[in-house]
Amino acid sequence: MAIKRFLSRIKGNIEPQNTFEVSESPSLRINQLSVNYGQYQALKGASLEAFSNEILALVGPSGCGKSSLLASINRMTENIKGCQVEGEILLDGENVLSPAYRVDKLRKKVGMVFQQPNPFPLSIRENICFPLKDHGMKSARDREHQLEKVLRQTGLWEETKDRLNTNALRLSGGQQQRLCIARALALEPSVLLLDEPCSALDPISTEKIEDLIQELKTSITMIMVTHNLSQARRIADQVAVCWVENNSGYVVECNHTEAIFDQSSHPITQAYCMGRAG
Amino acid sequence: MLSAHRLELVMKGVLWLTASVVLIIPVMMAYDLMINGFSTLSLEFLVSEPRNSGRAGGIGPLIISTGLILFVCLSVVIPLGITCALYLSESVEESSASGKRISLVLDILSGVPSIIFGLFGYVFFAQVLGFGFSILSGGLTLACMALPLFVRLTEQSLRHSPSSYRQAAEALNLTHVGFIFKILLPSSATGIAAATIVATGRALAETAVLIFTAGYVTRQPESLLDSGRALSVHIYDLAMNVAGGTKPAAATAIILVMFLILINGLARYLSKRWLPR
Repeated sequence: MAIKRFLSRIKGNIEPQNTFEVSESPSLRINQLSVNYGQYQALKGASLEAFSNEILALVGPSGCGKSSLLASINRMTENIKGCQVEGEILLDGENVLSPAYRVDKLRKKVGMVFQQPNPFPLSIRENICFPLKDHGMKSARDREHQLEKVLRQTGLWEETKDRLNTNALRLSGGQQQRLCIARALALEPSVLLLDEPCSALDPISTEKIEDLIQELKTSITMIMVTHNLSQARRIADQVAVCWVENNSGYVVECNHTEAIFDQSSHPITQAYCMGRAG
Repeated sequence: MLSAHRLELVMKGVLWLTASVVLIIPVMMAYDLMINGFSTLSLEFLVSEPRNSGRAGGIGPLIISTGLILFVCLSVVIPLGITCALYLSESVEESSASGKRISLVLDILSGVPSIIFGLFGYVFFAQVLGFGFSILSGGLTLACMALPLFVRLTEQSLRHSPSSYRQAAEALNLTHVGFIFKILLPSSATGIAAATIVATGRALAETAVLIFTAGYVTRQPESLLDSGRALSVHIYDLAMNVAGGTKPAAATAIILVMFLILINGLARYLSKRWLPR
């Protein structure tokens, strides 16, 4: 009986609720975003907002479209055969999904860090300097300056300053992930997307990355996919709960972290955040 | 009925036996070459011209001819092969109709008997293009022969480059050219080196093609349009047509094998140098 009651409560509340309190103008606004892979709809009508100097965490069970949502923001979905994205993603007031919006401009503004650390098989120095050179930074001095800046920002400078020419693949997993964050920061994006950045790391490396993300939010908007609810609670300012129904993902609600974990009245959010579902 | 333990012992024995047979054959060949050829080897043998149909003298001009033929062959195969492989790996999907068709054609071409390439090279390079029996004709024909296999091996190595590099490059919006030259090619360097070693092996071992195209004149070539005898052709000639040619044939074979080992080592060294330690 209790299960039936619970299910009927869920059914009565499946419409997405966007109950966040708007404290300032959002730096990124997503309106009615749908992502389809051929016949399969991964995400349906997602709407949410991410604010400057805040961390937005996307949480939810596997297959609820979190990663699809994240990949749509910098149009990484374009490389997937049969993938169609509909809706609107407004970055500084411009729809980045519009064909007129250039993808090179977008990816300069929106950096991305992946689940598995993926440094290039180059030296630590080249991992940062090569993308800068490729983006047209001609002066070697400027590149070196940027290298030191981002390595200091990510706490890697002291650990690597004497071996900048060694292969980045020789670094530990946590260091590699921080290098990947440094590489993304070197292009000075205004939004950083993080797709489960700690899921392949040990607890000590995870703590370092979490501290780093906290420090970085003062200058950048961050959107992070995570399966780890305690991590979302620890570091996110806003949390969006995603869910899957009829094989299709959607955003249940998006709100301040405390509101999601302590005060949500939505049955799915309550069930998921308390570990009863998902 | 054998118990599991006994079956394991039998299988172990069979594996050891087959592995030993596989190892014994090249060891026996090397032993045979050393017994027959070692006494003939000397510095004089390496630099002097062959005399008395190769029974006496050395293989100096032949080493130069072989080197030149290989140089012509690899100067065509490596740039053309890498470009073709890049086109296939970057622009043609492996499972698409055109991808499958191109792979099939390359597989068939790499299995075509070398004598067919020899005839083609003789007609096209020696006669139609007018290069005659020359090192150029020989090298270019060998290139045609080695190219399909080189392209296939290089393409596979490029396709197996980790997708995470491509993903990172796309997220950073790197230029395609930058990604190819800085990340893709260096990360596939070991595979490209292996393809080069296989192509070199095929080219150095070839005789039929070269008899038709490079000729078998033993004198020192003065240009790429001169005829020249490759080491493999010399071994064939000494072993088949010259009575008393066994010892210089074995000595030449030792040099050819050393040549292959040297190129193998060089290719591996260069591919490792391409990446930072």
